[in-house]
Amino acid sequence: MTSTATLDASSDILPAGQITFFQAVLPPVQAGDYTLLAMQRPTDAHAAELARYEVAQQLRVDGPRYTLPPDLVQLVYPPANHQGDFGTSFPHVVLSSPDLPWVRDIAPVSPPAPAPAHTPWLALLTVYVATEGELVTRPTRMTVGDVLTPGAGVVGPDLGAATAGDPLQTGQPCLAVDIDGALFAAIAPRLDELQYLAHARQVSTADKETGGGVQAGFYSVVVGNRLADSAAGAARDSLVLLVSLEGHAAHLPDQGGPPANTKVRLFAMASWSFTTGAFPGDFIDLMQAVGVDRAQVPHRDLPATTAAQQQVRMALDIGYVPLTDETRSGERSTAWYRSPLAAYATTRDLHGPYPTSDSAMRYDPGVGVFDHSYAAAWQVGRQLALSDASFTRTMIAWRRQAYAAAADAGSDALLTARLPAPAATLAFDAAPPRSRGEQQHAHLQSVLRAQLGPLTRAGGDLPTVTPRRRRLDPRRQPGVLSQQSLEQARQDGEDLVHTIVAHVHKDRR
Amino acid sequence: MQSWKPRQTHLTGLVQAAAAAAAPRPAATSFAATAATATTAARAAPQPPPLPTTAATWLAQLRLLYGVPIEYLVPDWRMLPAESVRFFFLDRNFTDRLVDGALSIGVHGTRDALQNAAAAAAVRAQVDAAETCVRDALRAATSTDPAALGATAAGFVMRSLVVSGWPGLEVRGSNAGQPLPLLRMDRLAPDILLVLFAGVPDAVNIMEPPEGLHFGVRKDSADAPTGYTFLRGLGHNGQAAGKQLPGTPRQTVPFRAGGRSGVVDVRTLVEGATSPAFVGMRATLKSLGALDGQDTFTSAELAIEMVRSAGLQAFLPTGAK
Repeated sequence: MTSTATLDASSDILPAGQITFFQAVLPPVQAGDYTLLAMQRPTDAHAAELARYEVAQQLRVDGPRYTLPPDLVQLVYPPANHQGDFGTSFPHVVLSSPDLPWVRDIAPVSPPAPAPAHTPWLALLTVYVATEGELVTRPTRMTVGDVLTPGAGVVGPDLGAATAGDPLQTGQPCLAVDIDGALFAAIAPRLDELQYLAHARQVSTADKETGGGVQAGFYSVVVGNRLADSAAGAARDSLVLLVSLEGHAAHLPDQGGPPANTKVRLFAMASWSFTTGAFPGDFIDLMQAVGVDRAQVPHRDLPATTAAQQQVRMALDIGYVPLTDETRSGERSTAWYRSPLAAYATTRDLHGPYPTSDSAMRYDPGVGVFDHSYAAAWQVGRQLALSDASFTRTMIAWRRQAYAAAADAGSDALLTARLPAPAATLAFDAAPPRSRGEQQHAHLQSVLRAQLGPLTRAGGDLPTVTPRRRRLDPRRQPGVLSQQSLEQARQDGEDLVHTIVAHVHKDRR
Repeated sequence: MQSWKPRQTHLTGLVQAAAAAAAPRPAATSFAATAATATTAARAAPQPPPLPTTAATWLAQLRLLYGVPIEYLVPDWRMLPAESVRFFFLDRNFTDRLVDGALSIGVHGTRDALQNAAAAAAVRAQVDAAETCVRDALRAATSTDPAALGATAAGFVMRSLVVSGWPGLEVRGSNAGQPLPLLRMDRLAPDILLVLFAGVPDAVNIMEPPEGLHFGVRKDSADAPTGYTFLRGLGHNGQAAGKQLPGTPRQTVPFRAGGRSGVVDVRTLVEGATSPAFVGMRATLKSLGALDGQDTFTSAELAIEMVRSAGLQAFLPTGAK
């Protein structure tokens, strides 16, 4: 509907069931070699011409050119190696990059005629294997250099002398095919047809499988111009090649075609084959052949005459599977197992958590058979948790956090139980966000205030206590003379230094 | 841990405190007067710390059977033969036991076990909520509807060539006409698809992926020299985009002359030709008033005219017997 769209990461998510078609999705910059040129031209009204400053920077915008990363191919139709009634379908390939068909110019050097706007560089060629199989080689491993300079009788793409002479590029491995020139001219699209053979689609991903990574739902589609090979009453194979036409513009049918009696060598970006015949192979054909049932082992043909048979049938019907049970004591017996994909709805029991897997085992004393489903589930959950180190760390840290919170609560409770806060105290600490330690401290303070305040106000001498660490103990300070011995020494006319030394050594004598 | 009361009493107290955490606890009488002590009272029954989000998501993925080996899901291959669809209800007991097993790591004694027991209800509620976000988080989309938490989930496994041949196929489940959100949709193997709905669907539609809709032509007979296609509206002049135009106008699809059959003459198909006279798609659509004011006709318009409609297979699982 919309003709052209540039890549916009914030594009709206479509409602489910709608498709938007785009003529082309143009990259901000096409792939290729660029020169970034910066120039400054200072002027001075009083001086003559001043020197210019110039700097040039080579830069290359890269992108898939000779091979495609396999994850770019989202889907091919008809599906690879499938058989079906594809005779009225055109093959196509869905690429998960929305702008890939337009990232390169089809004629990087000297275009024979200007290509129409939005001409893609990728195209699909459909080869009828039965009649044309001999004229096309299967994709073969080569180097880029082999394709660019293929030798006599074969023409390769013209990507310019710079590329052909760049050993970094010509050494790269790639897949390539040789196709007969006349066949190429007959089945390749014309230069002015290519613009109609690629478009982009945007769809909603709400109903799709999750897959890897983020899904934008934005795809490009390259469509073939040739129907699949079909013949009444016979199965026919078709080979589809996704090829790069970059540098091949001059070989397209309306541009003169390849020189007579030559082959054309093309980069094969992807290829697949499928078989057309009177087989049910369509989406709807396949879906209608699908058998629908509940998740259970086939059991409806089993006899159900005895009570035991009836019981087994019922167990199979609700999704149980009999498996061999090797008990710890070494016995071998049969136990039931049912997967989480149950055939009938179950009621959620909220008795958990089960501390061990054995506690989740179930036993039917009537028939003496174990049901190990939930015990197995317990073990799977434990194994998966043990295999994930970061989950294990998170769980242990979480539990530790809970213990710390409980310990805090316990010490708070103890404090307030032993020292009940007085009624009607204090708004002296209005600052609300405080640490636990501060809060306990404040609590203690308010208790003390309430208890001791009245005593202080009543006056009188309160006995004071000097903490032991602040008390002066002369015995522990041998270098200090008491007032009394100082007076004595002065009276006796003794040398004070001698007195101190004698005092220090008194105990040692 | 402080040791001023018997260990077992303390642990029992822990469980009770956690259980009572939800209910507002009456303030102790001696505290009633003061704001400062009221906060202390609130702390006396602490909220157990909630499970970190990463852990809740991990457990939710486990519940949706991420990582569970396929042998545990399909214990017997006769349950899932080639070309089959098997509908199921997710056994919540099984998935809860998976979570119990995962929580059992690092349990060294009664304290850890009791902590697990005390937190079980909160963990279950948290993982119920996280379950609905797993798929959205993986798709980097915003959550659509965190509707029925922990409700019965159901789904199907499909093993078919369709799964491998049509990657990106779409699944829509509904109950009484209300679409059900998908909890999980993943391929377990190249040809096995697991789909889980948040709810029990009474109708399931499996659709060909729209990005894979193919181009095709109609033929009156298998060896007819030309094909044709019915023309669709393009969203201009009141014609709904993608809907067939009134009067079912046909457009002949010409093929290139020459020895190689089946090659469409795209240029003539679009632009027409003078000799032999052929009316191209652009001119036909213009005469039908389907083009916009600038007569825009590009690969996007051609795609709308040429795609074949999507295949859709409907299942009504309640009817399955």
